[in-house]
Amino acid sequence: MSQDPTRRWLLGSLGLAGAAAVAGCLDGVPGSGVVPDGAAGAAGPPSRGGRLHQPWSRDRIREATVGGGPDKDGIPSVDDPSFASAEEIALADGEVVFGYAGETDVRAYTQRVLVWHEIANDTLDGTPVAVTYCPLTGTAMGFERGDTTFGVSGKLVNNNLVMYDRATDSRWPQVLATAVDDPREGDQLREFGLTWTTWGRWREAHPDTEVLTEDTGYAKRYGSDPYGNYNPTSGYYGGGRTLFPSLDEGWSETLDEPKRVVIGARTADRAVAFDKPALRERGVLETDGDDHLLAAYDPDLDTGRVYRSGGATVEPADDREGSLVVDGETYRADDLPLDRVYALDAMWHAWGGFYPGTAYVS
Amino acid sequence: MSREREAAGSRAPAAVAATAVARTRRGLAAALADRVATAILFAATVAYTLGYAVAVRDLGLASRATRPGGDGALVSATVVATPLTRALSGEGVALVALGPVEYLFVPATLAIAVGIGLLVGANLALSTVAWRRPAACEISPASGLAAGLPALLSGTACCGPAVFVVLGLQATGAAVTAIVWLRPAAVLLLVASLLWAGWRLDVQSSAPSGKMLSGM
Repeated sequence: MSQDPTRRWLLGSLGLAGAAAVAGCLDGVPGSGVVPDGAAGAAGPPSRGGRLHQPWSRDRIREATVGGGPDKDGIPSVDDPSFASAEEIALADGEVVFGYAGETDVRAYTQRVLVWHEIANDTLDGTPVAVTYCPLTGTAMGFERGDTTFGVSGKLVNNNLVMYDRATDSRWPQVLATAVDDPREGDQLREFGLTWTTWGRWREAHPDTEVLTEDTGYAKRYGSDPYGNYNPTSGYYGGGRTLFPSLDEGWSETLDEPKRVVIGARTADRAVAFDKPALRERGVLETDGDDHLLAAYDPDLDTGRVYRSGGATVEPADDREGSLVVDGETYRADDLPLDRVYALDAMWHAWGGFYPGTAYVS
Repeated sequence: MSREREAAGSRAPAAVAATAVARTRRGLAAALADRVATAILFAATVAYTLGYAVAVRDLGLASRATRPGGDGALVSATVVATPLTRALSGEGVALVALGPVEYLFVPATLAIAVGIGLLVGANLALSTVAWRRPAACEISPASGLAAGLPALLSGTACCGPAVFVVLGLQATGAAVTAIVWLRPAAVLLLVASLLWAGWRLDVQSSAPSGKMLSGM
């Protein structure tokens, strides 16, 4: 099968793609390499080049940050993750994993393990990275971490994980990917894509995958998710209210289903949420306006890929395999000949809270 | 009049407290000399400890799917590489699976559970002593049991209070702060309940005749 586009993205972040930087663009070079010194001369994680849409002042973000209960590092990151092959693991097909398919590394990070750690400091294709997951917002995101590691601050904003880097101790809300306090205040992280899917689908698509094991260095009851279950969906994940107040409650006027999953994408100046159940049903969703973004449904992995349409006409093919027709040619959803835009699965309350002006496409 | 009674009669808070402590100590000694009361103390402590372990999710059904070769064994135990470090940081040091049940051994949590469980058990043991003595005053076990409940709600689920997650409620900063104080509150309530029971049950004086000194 074709290479997962996340590989191209990470290569881009390493400066190997050579394409011009476009904020939020999958194939762009994310960072300029400008990394200010932090505490004790430590650099901290590398900054991205182009800017991401950031509708809130950092004062407001700091003001809205709350303690979730555990102290700093009370939720311990996995700093020495171990992996096993698919054959060694008896994981149910319906278990949620966050997949990365790169140049040399193909890995699945299990939700059942990350729900207890939220951050795994790892190395993918030779690049030090942090694979992060926030259970309260249903968001899994990858970041380059440079020569430091990320930890869990114990704080939340808009129900979302607030990370800190261990070089400068700056705070980085996960979804915003932006430092909200000194010394890195205002800097934004280089992201890379993770695919939110199920173990059965991922293993089928990537039989050579490795999977994160429970050998994390910690004793945890990994089969016991304190929030509920994704297989089938129940508990906190299945509905009901958010655990903490949102930054902005306007999302409920658009759609009063806080846990509904959207495919969120943000560029330099705006944010878009594609309704995932609607995308699953229709195959393609597209925004209005001049700078069209479109989401294409990938049935193999039950995920959405977001592109700039660039004026192209994209329609579902009549082949029952989820292919798409772009200007008369047939392509897979993960390989359209368009500019990819970084996107992630998120609960609607999280996306709407962080991006009150977001478009909602269903 | 004994010095203890003189002290209590003076109504000075310190003297009243000293009297309550002395009476509670005698009550507990009597409870330990009573087989039924001792059994209840032990059973209540064990029951509370197990209940606490379930409430904070250290005890529950086993699932070990992402441990290579981890399935199938009837009994298994996994100990972390640095147990002392983990124990000192309040983390779990071992995961023990017995058939369908697994227990996460977290020394700090176990110590808290046993400590609170002993207080609950001591309250019930004093109630038992009062119940088993002829003409003894009645001491309801309800206060001792109720005082132990707040601590069961004090668990946090990764990044939020577990009780709010379970009940589907929205937490505020004040609520999170309140959750932090549930365990100390439970301990204070249990100690107060124990002293109150000890005050009402003056075993030393009531033992021969069943008459109690605390004015009941």
